[in-house]
Amino acid sequence: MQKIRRFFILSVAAVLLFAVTSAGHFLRLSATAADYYAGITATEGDALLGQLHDLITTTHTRYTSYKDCKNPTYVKKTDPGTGGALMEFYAHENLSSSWQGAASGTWNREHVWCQSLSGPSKSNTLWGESGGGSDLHHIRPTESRVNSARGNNKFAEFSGGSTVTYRDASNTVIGPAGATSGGKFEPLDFAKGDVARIVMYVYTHYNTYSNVHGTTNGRGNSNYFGTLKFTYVVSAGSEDAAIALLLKWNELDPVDSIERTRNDAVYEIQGNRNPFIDHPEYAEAIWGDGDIGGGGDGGGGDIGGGDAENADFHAAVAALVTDGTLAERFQSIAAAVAVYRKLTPAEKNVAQTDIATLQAAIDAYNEAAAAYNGVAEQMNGAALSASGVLCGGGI
Amino acid sequence: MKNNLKNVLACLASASLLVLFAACAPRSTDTYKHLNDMFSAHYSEIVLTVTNTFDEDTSLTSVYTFSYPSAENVVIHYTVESFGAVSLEGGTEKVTRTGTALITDGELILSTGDDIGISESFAKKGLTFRADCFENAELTNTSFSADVTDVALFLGSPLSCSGMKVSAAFGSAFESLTVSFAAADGSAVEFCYEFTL
Repeated sequence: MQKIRRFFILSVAAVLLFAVTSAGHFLRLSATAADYYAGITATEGDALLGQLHDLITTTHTRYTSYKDCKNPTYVKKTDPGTGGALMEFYAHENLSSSWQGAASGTWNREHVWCQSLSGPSKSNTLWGESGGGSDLHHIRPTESRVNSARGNNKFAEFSGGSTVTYRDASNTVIGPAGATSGGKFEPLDFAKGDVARIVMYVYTHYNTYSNVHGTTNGRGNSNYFGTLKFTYVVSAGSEDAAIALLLKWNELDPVDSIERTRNDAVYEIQGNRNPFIDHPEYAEAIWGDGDIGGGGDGGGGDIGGGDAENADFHAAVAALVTDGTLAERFQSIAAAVAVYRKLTPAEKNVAQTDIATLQAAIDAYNEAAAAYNGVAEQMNGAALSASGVLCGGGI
Repeated sequence: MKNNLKNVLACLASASLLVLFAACAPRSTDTYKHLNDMFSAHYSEIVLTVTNTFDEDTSLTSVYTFSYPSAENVVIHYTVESFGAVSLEGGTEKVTRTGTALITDGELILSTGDDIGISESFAKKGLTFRADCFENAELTNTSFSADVTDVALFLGSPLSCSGMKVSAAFGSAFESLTVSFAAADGSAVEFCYEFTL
């Protein structure tokens, strides 16, 4: 009896301890996530790149194994779909989270930066299934046939090519997942930004510190670090051209809630964050023409002039006409879209609520316009039918 | 004698009333045969303008110009407006599709430009003028107007709408003809034909 009582007391204590620890952890997480970049003082270029390398390597406290990358518990946290499924990376479709040996129609572990492209040649690569090759910020779940179709193709944009289809376990085509052409792979638009930010993270992290103006490789095994070039994984004639494509994709496909959720989940597991998800403006500040205004503010994503642009956008969204004539609605949407298109990725990141409002107005407008088009088409058909031009060689 | 006179007067009165009635009412058979004949006449060109007005500043207009280079050929030039789709990347308020179709002996022979499904749109018979299509018909030597009560009979196919009216101006042949009504969604619609002999 005494044993039972002791067991009961210990169990309750354990549960309470877990609850307190968990609550503390989440409280710490939210506070720490916000403060993660407090030490970043550089605002652009190599200095910023170096500080980010130091930050994400020193805070990378747990290097996960390749086996961890197929752990359903992790995957459900990092890549949640709906109804307990996981979200496939290239197609953003639901996929069963249970590991089934990478069979067709189930998921496999995708090295977004392929193993064979992690060095100057296939025989001289930086990772296989450890280090950068098993970093949860890098490894993403993809349907096995999509994974095979991506293969070792470099990222690129091209016309035509072959569509890579995403199929379920019964081999039914669910939809596209990208395209391939001559050793190149082009993700769908909604995955391009994700790919760009992963590639930038891997480049910044696994280049040894001296390559990226850092001072340390943090806690990682020295074998994990080496020399990486964007042209290893991007099909381009030069590093500048490769960077230009990644910057373009970073802007084309802004950070979404899927990436933010994932960044938080991986941070909880391995201790570091993907800074290009938290601060997509860092990409332009390092490799493009941008810089981060107000140096020393902890990298708050405040690009010079951004506040004004966001204020203009907010005003344009506030002025949207939702219950006027269709023409009035169009004019107000066009005005808001014009301001939206001038926003930088960072500004768009800040303006997610306004963007969602604008998108809702656009959806409602398109629905009304389509209904009007349907009526007009029916009336045109009736008018033509009534004309009877085919009867007797003339009306 | 008085009775006979009464009968004669009654007959005369009845005949007068009939004449008066016939003069005032639309001359059904002859009238509508004349309108149908004019509608079936050979014109060198007909311009059909279809206008949908959804609210005070939102409308779509499509124009079809029919020309007849020979008895068996119809050439149709068309300009069809629709509303464009908008996205965060931009978009235009209206999209205009244009093109030309050649129809010979009732078959679509040649089509260039934007597709508007033209082959299916023309396979029906034209307008029919009959007394039982109309109410409140008014006819002069140069005009006709009426409320359309049997839309399917008049247009040649059913159409969900209300308040359809027709008006036409003519001399020896039609000069213009307008059909106006409210579509099922409440928008105002006009079919306007301009005829050239």
